[in-house]
Amino acid sequence: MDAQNFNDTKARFTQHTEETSRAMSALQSLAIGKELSDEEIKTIREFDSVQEYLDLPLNDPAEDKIKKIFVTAVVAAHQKGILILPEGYDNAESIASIVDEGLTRIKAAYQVAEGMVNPVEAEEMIYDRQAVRTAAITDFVVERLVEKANQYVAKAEEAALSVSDKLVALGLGRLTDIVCAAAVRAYPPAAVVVPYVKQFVHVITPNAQKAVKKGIKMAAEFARNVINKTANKVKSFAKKTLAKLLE
Amino acid sequence: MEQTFEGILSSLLDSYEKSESKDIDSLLKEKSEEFGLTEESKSLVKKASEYIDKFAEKTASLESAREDGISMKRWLTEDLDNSMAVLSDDEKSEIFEELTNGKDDFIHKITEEE
Repeated sequence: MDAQNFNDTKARFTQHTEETSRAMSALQSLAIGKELSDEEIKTIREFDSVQEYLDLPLNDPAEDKIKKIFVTAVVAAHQKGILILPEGYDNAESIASIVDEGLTRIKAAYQVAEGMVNPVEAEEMIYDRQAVRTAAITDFVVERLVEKANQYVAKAEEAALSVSDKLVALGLGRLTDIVCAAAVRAYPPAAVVVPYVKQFVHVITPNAQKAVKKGIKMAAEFARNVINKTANKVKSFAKKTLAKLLE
Repeated sequence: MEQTFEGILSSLLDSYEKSESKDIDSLLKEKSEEFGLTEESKSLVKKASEYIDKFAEKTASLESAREDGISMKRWLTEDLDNSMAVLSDDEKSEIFEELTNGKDDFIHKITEEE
């Protein structure tokens, strides 16, 4: 492949990212809004650390501690059979993404309702998280695959094989398939995230919970406008189901 | 032993709030023992926590790019390209193509399912 072709492929990816990421984010907002806005969820206990998380600026590095606590809770609940992760989501990439997406959605909704950010900023932030997760997962997965591939030097002449060929020789499958299957885990669907969001809001105060629900409704309304503007551009929308979401 | 999701989460948050050092990694190791997590689950907690750290690292990188006037979509493309620097252009190109197509499939799938 010449450099021009490679640059064209990259340019197509860059262009596509804009439309599809916004569309995916808006779809999730709409689906989560449908599921959550009117549902009564009881507060089990209130925690200062969770309230601090909600009040921190979006993307503050201190958010990570709370995210790791939720990651541990998800894994423990899954092992004990209390809250089972759906098939294909019981891996590190998916668990980290479900927690990141779930907590980010709760926080964005809270901050929109409290007037700390506007709906456009909140949607941008959610949309950024998807990009950040795609970059992180791809980085980690490629690094680990290259480490594995480099162990394959059965014969001196084989050391010159490409990473793809070494992975196939090791019986690990196609490089592209492995990387892309992992990268798509950066986008856990609303159907997977919603049960966790419902569990997560058990540990926030009733007032904050009220704000989250209000913010989720506002985000869904904003998403409706985004989808109405994008639907004609994004060919891959399943139009019939989309119409139901927009009802 | 906690038997509900809220119980597990409350126990973790309680221990975190009481902990003086707030050393999250050590605390989660202790709690994993207390919950009786298997080696497989402990490894899952460790790897998923590493992803949380990596998300933070990439967030800082994106914020720094924005300060330099670089858009998110351009940052993502360049970051992916850098992460795959050891791969050939053919290999990278195939991955970029698949990621582009994969997003379309994903949108179709979620509008079908939801």
